[in-house]
Amino acid sequence: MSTNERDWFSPEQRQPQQPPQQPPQQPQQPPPQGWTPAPEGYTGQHARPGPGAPPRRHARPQPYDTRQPRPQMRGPYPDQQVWPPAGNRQQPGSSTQPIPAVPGAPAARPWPPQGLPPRPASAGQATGQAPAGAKKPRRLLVAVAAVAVSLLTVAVSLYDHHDFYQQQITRGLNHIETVVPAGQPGKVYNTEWRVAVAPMKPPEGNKHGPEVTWLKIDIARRVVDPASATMIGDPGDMKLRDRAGREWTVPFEVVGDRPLERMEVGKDYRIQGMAIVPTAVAQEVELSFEPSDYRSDTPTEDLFDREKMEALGLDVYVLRFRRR
Amino acid sequence: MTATEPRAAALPQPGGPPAGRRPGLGARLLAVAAGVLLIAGAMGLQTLKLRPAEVADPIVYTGSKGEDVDARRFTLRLDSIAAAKALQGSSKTIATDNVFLVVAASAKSSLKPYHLATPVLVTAGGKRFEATDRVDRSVTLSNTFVQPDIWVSGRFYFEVPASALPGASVRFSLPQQGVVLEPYRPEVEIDLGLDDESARKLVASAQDVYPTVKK
Repeated sequence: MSTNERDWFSPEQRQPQQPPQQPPQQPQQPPPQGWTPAPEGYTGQHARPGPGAPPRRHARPQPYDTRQPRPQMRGPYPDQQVWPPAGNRQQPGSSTQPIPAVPGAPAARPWPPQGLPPRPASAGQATGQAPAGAKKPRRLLVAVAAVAVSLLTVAVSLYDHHDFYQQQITRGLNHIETVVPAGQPGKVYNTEWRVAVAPMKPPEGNKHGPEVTWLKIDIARRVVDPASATMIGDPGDMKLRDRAGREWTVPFEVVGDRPLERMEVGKDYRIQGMAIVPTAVAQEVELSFEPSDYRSDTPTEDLFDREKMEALGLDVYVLRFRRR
Repeated sequence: MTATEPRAAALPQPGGPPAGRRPGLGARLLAVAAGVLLIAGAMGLQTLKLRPAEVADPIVYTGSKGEDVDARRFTLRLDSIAAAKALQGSSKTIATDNVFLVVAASAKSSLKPYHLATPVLVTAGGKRFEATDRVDRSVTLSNTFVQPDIWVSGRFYFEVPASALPGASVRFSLPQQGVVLEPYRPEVEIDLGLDDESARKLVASAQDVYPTVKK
């Protein structure tokens, strides 16, 4: 049993141990990274016992004073750098991979490379304007990107809302309006529509005064092509519109012969309506309606066939009749 | 040598200090505080976000009796109120243990023809009573087209307990169009101007039979 080894199984000795042997001088090496000498007064209470030390509950290792040289517990061999070779340490660019040196190969290139202009002191410090100029476009780029992304987000959201509106409110219907000159027939689906709008005497017992004008609307429709003889549907969305876009409803009814299956080509079928509008716009309101695309010979099961109904298209023809 | 200059400049010095300068402690604390402030602000703004039920809430225009209340899409005026113990229709007379409140109103619209929806009576305590469905819709103002610049008049009938009248108001709106719940629908709320005293007087002066179909 050597003198610098402690007998763990005997009671602790009160008097300090003989100073352990000085470890051999480290061979020209800085201490390994991360290790710093303990500050003054540090006793190493919580230091882990070295490898090979028995568990603590049996006997606590005596705290050592770091002011003294580190006691050598076990392992008489000090750390020694074996790779990379100590001589290569001065070349930071050289590899630390344990590749054996190729005999006869050219020596590693020196660092920093020779023959280059001196590097700037640090990346942050500008050599003139180049890095400062590079930083500004970068900030500008970030700002522009932020604005662009914000706009894109809003645009996508708006598009989504508009799409929803199109599908749910207008159901994607494509209104094609035809403005018909006064006195001429409007023609849709090979059917001619003639209208006459004229003021009428207010009916007895109505609740309105002279601020309201009653208008009588006469509509005649005439099929000009036998292919459209089965389009007997009543027109829809009949209304009077003034120049400002305000609308008044036109209740109407079919008078005379009501087509049930087919209409005779060249015969006038009459529809009569009655409307009230403010007297101020009585001369300017224009009648408009949507001729129906319904055909009486459509098989009933086709009405429930999605594909066949969609094949009819989403176009809705609107006729607007000028007054003068 | 200029050809290799950018590459040499881009290479960091191995083992040297990191390329970017680390900002000072004060600047970093300031950045952290600003970040926390921004996050807190963003979270605070979330509390202002409207819940779905609130988005569907109408925009209410309030007014008093006899006043034209412009709700942009339509304008409504509450002309008068009356109480009745029974309502006489064209074919039969209906009676109630409570009281019939007859609300006479006039309306016009701004751009398009509309029918008014069934109005709702809101009590001071927040209870809501729809206009009675015991009276046929055809004798109410809902049956009449409300059109631009043409005033039309009519009545609505509520069947409510007499205790609901003090502090009550009536809300008029337009019916929902289609399947989509439109946000920010216009609504007109008109305070009936009844306190305890006048409500009692109104109920006491209730007509025995009120004819819904005026000759």
